[in-house]
Amino acid sequence: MRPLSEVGSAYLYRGGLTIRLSQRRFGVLCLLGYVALAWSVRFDMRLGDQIASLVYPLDTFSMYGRMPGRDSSYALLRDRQGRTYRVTDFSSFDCAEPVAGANAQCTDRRGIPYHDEEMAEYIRLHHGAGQLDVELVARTWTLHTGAAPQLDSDCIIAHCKVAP
Amino acid sequence: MNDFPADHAPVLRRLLTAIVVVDLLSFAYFIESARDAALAAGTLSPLAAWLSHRVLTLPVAGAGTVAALGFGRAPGRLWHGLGALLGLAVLSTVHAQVFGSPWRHLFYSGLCLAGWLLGLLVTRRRGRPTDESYARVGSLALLSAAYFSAGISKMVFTGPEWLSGVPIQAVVVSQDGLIADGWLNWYRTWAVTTPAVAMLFSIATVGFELAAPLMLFGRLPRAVVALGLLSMHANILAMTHILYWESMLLLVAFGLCGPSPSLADDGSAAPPRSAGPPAFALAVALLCCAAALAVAHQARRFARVEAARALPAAPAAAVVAPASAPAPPAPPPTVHALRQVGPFSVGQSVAPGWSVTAVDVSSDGITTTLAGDAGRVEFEITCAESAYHSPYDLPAAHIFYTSEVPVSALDPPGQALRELIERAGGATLCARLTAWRAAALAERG
Repeated sequence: MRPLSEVGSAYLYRGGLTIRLSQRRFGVLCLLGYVALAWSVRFDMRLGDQIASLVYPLDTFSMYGRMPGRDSSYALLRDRQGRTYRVTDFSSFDCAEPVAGANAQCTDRRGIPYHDEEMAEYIRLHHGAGQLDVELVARTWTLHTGAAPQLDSDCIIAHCKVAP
Repeated sequence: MNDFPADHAPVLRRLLTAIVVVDLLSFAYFIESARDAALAAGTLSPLAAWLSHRVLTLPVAGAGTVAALGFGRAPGRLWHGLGALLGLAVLSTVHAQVFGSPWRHLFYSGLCLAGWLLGLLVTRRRGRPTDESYARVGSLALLSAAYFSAGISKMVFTGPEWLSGVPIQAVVVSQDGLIADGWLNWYRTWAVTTPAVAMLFSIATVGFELAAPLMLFGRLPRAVVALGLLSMHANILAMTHILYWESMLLLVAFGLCGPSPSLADDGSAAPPRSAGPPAFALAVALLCCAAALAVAHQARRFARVEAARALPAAPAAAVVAPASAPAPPAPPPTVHALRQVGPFSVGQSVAPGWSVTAVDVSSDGITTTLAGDAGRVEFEITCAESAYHSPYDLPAAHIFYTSEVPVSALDPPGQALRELIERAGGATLCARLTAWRAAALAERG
């Protein structure tokens, strides 16, 4: 920015106002143009409908815009006392049943698909002996407006022996 | 709005460059990872397999990085910036094709870079190619547009019900499982199990998102909105482990430090012309109309699918069997609308453009109705013996269909459904089918 001494104060005042207004107008036009373009075309993709705009970086950022289903699930480990653990709390897994693929159980209630894939991959990569008996379960909660989530059920995916 | 020293421009540009470079390099890694997963799952098309090969992605990431570094080194480097943006666009598109969905946290750097370049275009046209004052406003404007769009989408796709807190409860439960393993979990559990708190978070989220355009209107609103959005991201991180570090950094840079409208950096030019009020008003009116139409169009598309979901499966002409053959058994009257039967749940996307709108049981199997742009088709999966066959039959089960859809459009959903059933049923498909049906009947009461 030029120092004040280089320009007359009236000019600076007038010029400054013009620039501010002009930049703000430019910003408003950018914003509206982006919204119009991003929303005009939305493509369906493998993981959802109306999920992608015409070209990067256009997007409507709608990933959490839709109302979820009436239930929500998460895969976790449960021991005989009912205590729960994250899969990543253990580093060795010996499971009696498949945790992924065509023969796996509870495929209809596994929660977020990429979590499910990561969980299966983690267990596959950490195959080994274990001492603690646990069940890998898909825990499901039901959701109601104005109420806390209600624990609905545990669907047993596999019986495993795990070690820290 | 004139609240920020002009020499912060290089800092903003270099910060933006750094984030762009990290995202370019991250894309190369994420594409590789998504490619491996898609190959293992058998969901990678030959074209996507070719495009996502590192022989292509690494050079694109490398070239984009070189361009980004060039952009960051001096003001006004429009072409370098365009090169970096093109690299991000190519890699994002490839990643979305391989993964099955775009990753939005990698959009913010591209947004701000695009806004910066738009600003450079303006000042270049005005004979001041190194003036970055418009560039900074452009970045802030597109950053605001992203949050504004997020707020619009919540109101368009869900409406005021989004403010109930249920979406936040659902996200936290499905991301975290409420496992008791630390003080943060106590916080999550408290927030999720206290409906008023979840509702408060929902209202604040939508409020700050819809208020994002105010960041263009003065220092105080910009700071308030930027701080609100930063708090939202911090809360999301605490509750779900999801870190949007790019957008948080950019909010600090462009929202809290903020763009500084200033005279030309080189101090030599006359004040730029601004569009006169009538021209600006006309442009705003046109863009508002275009935006409203675009949003309404997407809302209508969404409502159409939702409406189809709400309708019971309509019987239609049988196309699987010869014309004289009886149609596959129609589903029994719905006593209680089921939302999930076996591997199918209402709202599930089965194939591109095709999603489940209804599920039910039939006399000896299960049914699922899919809706797409071409219309609706109801599939019945049964292990009962039949003299008829369908092109989608599995060795152990028939997959009959009744459809109002042209035969030419049936194949994508038919094949996708066949593969889904094959995966879910495995070697014991008929036993599982019986179990799915029994569970659905029990649920329906």
